This record gives sequence, structure tokens and C-alpha cells, in this order.
Amino acid sequence: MNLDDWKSQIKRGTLELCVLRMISAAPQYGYELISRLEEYPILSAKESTIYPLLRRLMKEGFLTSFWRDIAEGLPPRKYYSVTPQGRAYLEAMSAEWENLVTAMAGIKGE
Amino acid sequence: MEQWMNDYMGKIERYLRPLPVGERVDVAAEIKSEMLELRAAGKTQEEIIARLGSPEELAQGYLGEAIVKGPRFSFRKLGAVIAFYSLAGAAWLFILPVTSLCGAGFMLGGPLAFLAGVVKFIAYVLGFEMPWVAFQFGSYTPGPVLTLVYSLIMGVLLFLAGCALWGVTVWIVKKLSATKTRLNG
Repeated sequence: MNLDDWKSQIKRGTLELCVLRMISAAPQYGYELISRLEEYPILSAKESTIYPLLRRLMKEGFLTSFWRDIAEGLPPRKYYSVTPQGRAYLEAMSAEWENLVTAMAGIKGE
Repeated sequence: MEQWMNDYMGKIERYLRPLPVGERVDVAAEIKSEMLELRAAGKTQEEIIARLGSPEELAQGYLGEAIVKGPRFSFRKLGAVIAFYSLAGAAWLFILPVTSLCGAGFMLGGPLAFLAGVVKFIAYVLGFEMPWVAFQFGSYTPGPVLTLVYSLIMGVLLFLAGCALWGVTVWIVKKLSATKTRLNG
């Protein structure tokens, strides 16, 4: 049985929710998001996954971005924040997530 | 910016050419920002490239999203796929065997064709018929003497075509290994 395949499917399905939730707490830049996700092996994803995902969420109107200068000698960073539309989407996704968790708990307890 | 960063960003921008200009510039700026930030944090070139992945890999993420997530088929997307794969080198996987095999085959086949013409001619001089070694142009078949002439012409042409194809093969291999060196170096 290919556990790695299954894990990568879970990751693909949940990254969107994770990213939106992290950004909804406070604006974040790409590298920061990736570093934080790296703390959790089941969620860790490379630049080639996260950046395109952010771009898609922006195109769908769930995120906006802005450039911010940090300090002398450091390049400006591109920050992402959640739009009202993104917040609504996040709430809907969170509700479904709770649904799933409850269902899993129910099945396990049977 | 160091030289390898310029090279890396140059490749990224080339691979992202199917994207609209504004988007491409934005994507490149974001990647460059992380690159410089990692560098400022003391990461080496190897560590940074290991993180970001090769330019192909990283660019493919963007093009993949653009291709997979859009609702409809469009020629623009098809163009994006083709442009990416021909730049990234997968096309060479088809071209290389053809040029190398045909090159080698023609270089060998040219002299063999001439040799066959010579054998037929010698056989003719000695009084043998060799009808199974012959040129056939429609219903017309030249005699042994003409066959010798034609086989010489054909042999030279085939050999030259073989040399040309082999030259193309060598050129491709050199180009590919140069790309590889630049990626590694």
C-alpha cells in the first residue's frame, strides 16, 4: 500500500485551508508560511507548491498581496492578506473540516 | 545579485514566458526576494537551490497551476505546455534518438550503398546478373553501369546527411550538458 501517495493527497487537500487560516491570523509572506509549515512534516511543502497555490488563491479573489520594505540591505517582502471573500471561504471550509473531524470521531467510536 | 542568481532568475523568466508579463514580473520578484533573504541569512548557493528546486521545477509549479486549474481548454495553455516542455528539454528525448540513430545509420548506409553498386558492377563485368541489387525508380531500373554511378551519388548524399545529423546530435548533447553544468554550478 502506498502510504506516501495517500499522505500527499491529504496534504494537497488541506494546504489551502492551512494557508488561508495562517494568513487570516496576520498577513504573511511566502517564505514565512513555508517555514511554519515545515514544522509539521505532514504539511511541509516546497516553494514550487506554495507560491503557485498563493497565486491561485489571489486569482480567485481570496487573497490580496502587498510589498513591504523590511530593513536596509534586505529585499522587500511580498505579504498576503485575506479578503472578505477569502474569509467567507475560510469559514465555509472550516465548517466542513469540523464536519469531517466529527465524522471521523463518530466512526472511530462505533 | 551574484552570477548564479542572475542565471537562475533568467531561466525562471524564460520558462514563465507563457504567463502574462505583469504576472511574470511579480512572480520573479517574489522568488528573487526569497533568494536574497536566504542569502542574507547566510545560506549557501547549494542550500538555496535545494530549497527552491531547479528553475524548471519551480516554474512548472506556476505553469501547472495555470494549466490545470483553469476551467477551459485554450490554445494559450497548450502553447504554455509545449513551450515549457521544449525549453525544459523533454523534446530532446524524442529528437535525440532520431538524430543519433539516423546519423549513424546514414553514415553507415551511404558507403554500403556504394559497395553494393560496385559489387553489381564487378559481377556484371565478370558476366553475372545480380537483379536483386538494383535501383528502382518507378518501373525504370538502370543498368549495372548507371547503377554504379547512382550508387556513388546516393552513397555520398546519404553519408553527408548522416554527418549532418550526427553534427546536430553532438550539438544537442553539448547544449544539454552546458545547461546541466550551469544548473549544478
